[in-house]
Amino acid sequence: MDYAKYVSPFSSIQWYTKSLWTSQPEPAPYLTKVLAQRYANYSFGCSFTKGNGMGALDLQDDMDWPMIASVPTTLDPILRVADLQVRYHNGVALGSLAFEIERGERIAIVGPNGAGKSTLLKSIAGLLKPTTGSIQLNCKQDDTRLSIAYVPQRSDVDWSFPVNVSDVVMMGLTGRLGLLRWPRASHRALVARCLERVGMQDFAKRQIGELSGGQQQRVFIARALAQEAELLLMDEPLTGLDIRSQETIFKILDDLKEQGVTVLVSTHDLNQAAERFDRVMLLNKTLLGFGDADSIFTPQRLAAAYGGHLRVIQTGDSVVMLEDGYCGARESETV
Amino acid sequence: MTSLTDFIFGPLAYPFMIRGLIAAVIVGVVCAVVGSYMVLRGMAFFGDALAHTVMPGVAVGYLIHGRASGPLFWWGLATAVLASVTIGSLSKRARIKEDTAIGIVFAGMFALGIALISTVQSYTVDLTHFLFGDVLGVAWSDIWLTGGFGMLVIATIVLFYKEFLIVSFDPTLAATQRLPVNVFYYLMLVLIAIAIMVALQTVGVALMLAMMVTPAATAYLLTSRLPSMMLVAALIGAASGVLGLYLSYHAEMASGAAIVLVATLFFVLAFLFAPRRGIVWRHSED
Repeated sequence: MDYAKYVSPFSSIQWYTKSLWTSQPEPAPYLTKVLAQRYANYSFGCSFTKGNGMGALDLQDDMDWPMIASVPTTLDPILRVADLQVRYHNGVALGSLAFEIERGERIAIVGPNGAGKSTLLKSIAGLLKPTTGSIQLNCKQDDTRLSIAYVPQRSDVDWSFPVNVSDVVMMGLTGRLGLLRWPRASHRALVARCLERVGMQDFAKRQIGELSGGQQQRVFIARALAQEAELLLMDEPLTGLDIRSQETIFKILDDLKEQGVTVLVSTHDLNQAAERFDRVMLLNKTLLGFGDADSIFTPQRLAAAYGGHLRVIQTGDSVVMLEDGYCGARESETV
Repeated sequence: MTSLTDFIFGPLAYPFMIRGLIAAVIVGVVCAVVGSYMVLRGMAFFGDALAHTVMPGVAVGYLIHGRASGPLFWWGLATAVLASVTIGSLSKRARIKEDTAIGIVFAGMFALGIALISTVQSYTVDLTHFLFGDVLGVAWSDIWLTGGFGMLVIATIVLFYKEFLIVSFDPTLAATQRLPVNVFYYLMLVLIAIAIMVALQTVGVALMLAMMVTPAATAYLLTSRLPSMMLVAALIGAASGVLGLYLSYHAEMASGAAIVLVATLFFVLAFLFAPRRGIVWRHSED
């Protein structure tokens, strides 16, 4: 299997894991030793999705759940995360994550505020340097950097910046154009096509601050299309949008899925996560579960993730989840 | 009619006025274009600090070479570039808050500059020139020098337009596309440093910030795309330079102050009457 090297500044880590995955000639002896220590919990050669860092998790012993809800052995993973840990100077933001994502999947990342959802997305995008572990991408393009598109939280964007909609989409081509090159007619045509695909062609000349929240989100998706991204990372794109705008976004995401674009979305809306995504990832500093919603959104797991911030009521077969004001308040803030 | 002709052509009889007008246009254009990025990235305080930090370098040049403006330019330029990179890296990993760190450095350097200059007996006149500019003392050699560097600054900004745009608007995207964000950050700091030296003789240290920020902020209210913002800012900067100099000639005012006042007037007008964003417009919409 030819994994395109993840272009990251963390080359040494990448080297370890590369030798792990691609059962290639043995790494140097001392490296084997390092690996043996580092991956003491793993049995070598098995799928990474099984033996993830659950060992680090301190939950009640009587909870008899499978480590990861039954995931078929991934045939064409676009993303492999192994032993990922991210520390900030004030503590661990993410600890011991390991998972695989299949090409074309649509994944919802859920968890309380401060669970590390943004940190995970930024690490995958290469914006944050993991303390340990590796992130590997298996992309079709040679130049891996162009394969990831990251859509920031809306509150992280300066919407009064003097750029219009096509300017923003054109930015997706900056890396491919290279230094000292100006966009040509073909590039402008590409931008127009991308805007058409998200239904924003009529807004091409609008300053971005004049758009509604849903339209702004669509512009950034169009930029990802212009990048020809294979992996789309979106940080709370649905927060604060009305139902109609959310539906429009989901329509576009369905369209992307058909083209094999993999989408990772962080969200606060557990219902939506359960209904509209292939798999959900439950996160709170560490991976508390990753699989289809039925097996992940269980009272025990949700209680483990949200603690007091989410009340879980089980009535017969169904599970009722009540968010307290914590998440809701934050959502209305960003509207 | 004659009075208007006199008003316009009267000052042009003096060669120093012609040189001053050319210098004012150069400064207006260069500062406004660089200033557009400063306004968008919230670097106004940084620019002001940098202008003050140049003082000790200029002072050393002054002590060694006297009032000849050529050597002063090079001394100032070296100091400005050094200071911009130092402040830039300081503010990236400072334990104290960024603005505090910048404030300490700039006040200290400014004091050092004044202290050095004050060791010369008759320093008050020259100090005034450094602080408030002396556009009428500009020589042809100064124009060639500042004009050349001004062209360099604008050419750099045009050549790396899309990179500066993406780094300013969305550093995250720049990073995912593996653009050297830091290289462009420091390049921008160096461009600001050069623009400061271009403007030093015309408007002086104390009023420098206005030339960078005010026309750019005015253009920001009037336009909705970066290229047009820069163009309008440059026009306003140049117009402020020319009109300010005329105001200074006819009303016998300090030239730097007159230029800045005209620029401020433009801003106030835009703030009140700008289409869609001006206060008056918004009220009439309600």
